[in-house]
Amino acid sequence: MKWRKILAAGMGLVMAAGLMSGCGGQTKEADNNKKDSQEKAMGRYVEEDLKPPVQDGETPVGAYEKDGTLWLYTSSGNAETGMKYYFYQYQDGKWSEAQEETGLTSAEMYVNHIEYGQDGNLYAMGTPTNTSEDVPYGWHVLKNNSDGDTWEDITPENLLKADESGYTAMLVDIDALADGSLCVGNGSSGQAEIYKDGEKVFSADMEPMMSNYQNTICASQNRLAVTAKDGKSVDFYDTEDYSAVGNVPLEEKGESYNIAAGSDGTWYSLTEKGLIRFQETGDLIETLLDGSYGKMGASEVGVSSFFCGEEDDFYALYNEYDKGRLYMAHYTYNKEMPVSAENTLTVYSLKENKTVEQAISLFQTQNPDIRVDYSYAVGQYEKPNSDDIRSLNTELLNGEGADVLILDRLPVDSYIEKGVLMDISGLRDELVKDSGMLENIGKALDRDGKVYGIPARVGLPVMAAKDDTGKALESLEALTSYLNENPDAQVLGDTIHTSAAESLLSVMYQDLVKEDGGIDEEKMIQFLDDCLKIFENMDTKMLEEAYGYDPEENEDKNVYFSAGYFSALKDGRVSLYELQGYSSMMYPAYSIKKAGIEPQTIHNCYVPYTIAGINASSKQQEAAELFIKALLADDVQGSETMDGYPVTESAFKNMLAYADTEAAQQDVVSSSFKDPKTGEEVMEEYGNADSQTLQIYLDLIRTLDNPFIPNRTLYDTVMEEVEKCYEGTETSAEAAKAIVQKMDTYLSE
Amino acid sequence: MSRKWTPTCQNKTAYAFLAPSLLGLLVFVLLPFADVIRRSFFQAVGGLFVGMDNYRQVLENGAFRQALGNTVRFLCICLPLLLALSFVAAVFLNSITGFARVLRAGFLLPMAIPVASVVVFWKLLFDQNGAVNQMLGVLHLTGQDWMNTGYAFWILVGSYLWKNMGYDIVLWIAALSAIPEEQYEAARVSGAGAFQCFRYITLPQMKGSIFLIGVLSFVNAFRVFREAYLIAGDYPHESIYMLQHLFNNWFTKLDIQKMSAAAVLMAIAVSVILVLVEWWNERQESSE
Repeated sequence: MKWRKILAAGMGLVMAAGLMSGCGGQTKEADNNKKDSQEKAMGRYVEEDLKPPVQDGETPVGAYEKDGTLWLYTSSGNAETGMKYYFYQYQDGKWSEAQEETGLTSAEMYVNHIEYGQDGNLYAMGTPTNTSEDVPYGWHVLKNNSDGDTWEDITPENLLKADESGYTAMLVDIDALADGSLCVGNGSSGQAEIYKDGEKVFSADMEPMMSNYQNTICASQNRLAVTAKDGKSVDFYDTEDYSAVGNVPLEEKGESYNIAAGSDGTWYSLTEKGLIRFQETGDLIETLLDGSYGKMGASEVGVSSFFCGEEDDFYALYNEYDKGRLYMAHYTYNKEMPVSAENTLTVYSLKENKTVEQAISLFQTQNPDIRVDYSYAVGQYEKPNSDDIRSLNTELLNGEGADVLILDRLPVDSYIEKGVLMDISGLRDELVKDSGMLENIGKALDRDGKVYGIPARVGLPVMAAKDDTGKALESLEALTSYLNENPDAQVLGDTIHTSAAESLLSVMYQDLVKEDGGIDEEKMIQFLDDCLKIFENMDTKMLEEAYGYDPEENEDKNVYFSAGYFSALKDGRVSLYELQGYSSMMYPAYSIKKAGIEPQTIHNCYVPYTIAGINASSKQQEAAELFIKALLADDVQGSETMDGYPVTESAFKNMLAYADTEAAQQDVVSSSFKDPKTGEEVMEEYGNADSQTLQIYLDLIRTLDNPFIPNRTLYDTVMEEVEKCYEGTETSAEAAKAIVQKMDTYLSE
Repeated sequence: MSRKWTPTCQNKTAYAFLAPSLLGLLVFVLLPFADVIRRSFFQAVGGLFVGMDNYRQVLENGAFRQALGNTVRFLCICLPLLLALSFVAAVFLNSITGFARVLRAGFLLPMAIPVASVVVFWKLLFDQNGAVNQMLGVLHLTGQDWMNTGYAFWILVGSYLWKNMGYDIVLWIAALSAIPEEQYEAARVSGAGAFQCFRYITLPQMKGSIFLIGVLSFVNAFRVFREAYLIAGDYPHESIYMLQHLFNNWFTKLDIQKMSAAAVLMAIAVSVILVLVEWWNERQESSE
């Protein structure tokens, strides 16, 4: 029996040890000491901004390196003034002055990409500014002649043949093989094609792309790399016999893989995830630089050119769409740089936030020794739920929450009450004083003289009406009496019932919610009755059918005020807008100006977004403050992420300066739609607001003093009950009773 | 008669085998609960000792009283109903023979159905556009949003009974099968009818099982929250707002201190109930 006892004891010990191993008693300090004692792994690629001396309004066309000199091509101009092309040379750390590429300028083309071929020639692709018999409509390929000054149109004939609908092939990328054969990415056919002496000799499926320029193909001395049809891998073809020689699956990307050929048969890819080295056999896939360390990880940037340098270095030419400028990056290996940053700053937001992503990109460049670990629960247009908040709370209670918390839609007051958030009034004062942050916006989370969050973006709710209908929205009482006097009035501009209800709720929020947060049942009944009357008068059911409204669609539009956004102002209707930046005000500013009226604020309120707070238990409070400063830096504030206006005076100034540029004023949108009610065809052309108009809106922001941070539980409960009333399964009295009951329960918790 | 624990080689071996699970219990249940007790005397964050403040806040909390009332009401209605209905069904199923015994397995099916599917099923039935309202429409009657009225409570009771009947039936059948057939045969020979057999043989021997089945049903009753939450969300109709809703919402608001105090109060209440039931059970056994 003795062996049994030994076995039993042994088993017990092993299982106990197994359990214990999951909860190791090693402290963090001990762990850090151990880490410190080990030698840090050093050496990684770093990004350097080469800062070419380009002028405002110049957009990137392409870049390449030849004989140790970097060549950068840009364009400027428009259809009226004509296109001009420039090039810059970079050698020994110095840029040359801008020189006009007269050959391209005289070609009268909208050139959107230049590529250096394997045959040592320069190729350009674009569309003619004016079509003629000699230069027909379609995408053209130009080749730089040996004299270096002129360009020859070498477009294969069949690329200019129109299809049944009258469209010619749309080119998305070009390259050239060592023998001078032309490679094109044909977006129309979804194929990569090779033309030899104008004749198509090869085609293969590629990822379908239909935008102007996508880096989908890349030639080396003996291979053609093509982004595969599934968009998740790269196919390789031998350029001698065009046989398929390999397929390498890569991590999924947002847009292109941006492939570049190395000199030794190695390939490189640049995506938002980072700079990756791989081989066509798929044996080696290695991340050389994580996307969070460079411009590639930023949102709203596109890659115009990506290629290898001559000394194990890389170049990438980025187009920063939102800022209307370019960024020339040089990636070099720095053996003094730690492989991974010594410190990590964690940032959390409930929803994906583009401004935060911009700030991370800037912060990483400014602080290469701190790595930012950003996480979020749901995407930008998804709706978070209470489970997401509970997951975060679990971390906060364990003292493991993120250092920087983006407080949008989080239970901020509970966090403040529990002491989760640090008082950052000192930082706010510093930002107001030194960074020109708008003082009124900085007060959004002011509680008893302490500041717990700083908004990096702001939404501007405005309303516009041609007559005095706007007075109906001054209070719930005013709305009800207006509807009694005008029983057929639709009050709001045409929209779907959910937007109308959300907007009305936002406008009437202060009227409906009592001081203790409870709901006045009588007022709620009145509100719901008014909503139903407006839906009926507006004929939302007909509008929804015409607009193709899908009740199952669950997209979170991230706006509280929206009614009649894209319809012209008419008598007896109020349009409500929540403007979230320069681009978002295109149509509203146009229609308000056209109507000859002024925009009005709604109860003087503004919607703070990207509200950054610091976790009181954070060990990285200094870095967290630096991160908030990055959020308010000109670079981030100036980027157009469509999630709110900037909140600094300098960003306002830059925005006003941009509004006066040719680039801003040339950005014109044409829209045509059929008015579902009148059947009338409406065609409109509008563009960005000019600086004078923009000034009116920015001045409004400066005057606002009422932060609109609604209770999401109330908001969701009301919307749920409105839906039942709209479907006719509940009366407004029943709905109001349910809302009051639920809110009473909420408050009594 | 007093019992004395004597260490022997046999029970040392038994404890060696028990050690891992005891350790697991300690690490995953007892220690976390000890932490809950500790937190119930402190502020949510910051570690400030507040004495009995959290308990006072919980006992004065309107939502807690509402949720407690609903939970007690639910247990008081469901437990006797479940025990009685499942017992009747078990006696019936135990008496049938042949292929019909397959029916027993059928009662277990609701337990095998995932909660998400159960919720979809209830929604299909009781939604505004659900089957019940459609049937009422055919009869020219007006339907309603069932889960937003007092009916929600009875729907939840039905859901609990439907889901847990099978499990209790199996437990009752196990208890019924333990009664030797000879006792019934002897009774019948002595002229006892079916009712007498049930009254004097079956019922008395079920007393011992009531405790176990009752406790298991009690524990299962707390799981009904999942259905209520998935059907009606964080803030359901006031009649089905249970303690777990409150705990969930407190956690969303980071009110861990209130949660902890309420959890300790609940644990005390449940322990008292179980001790009383156990005491009653032992008294019954000793009186026999």
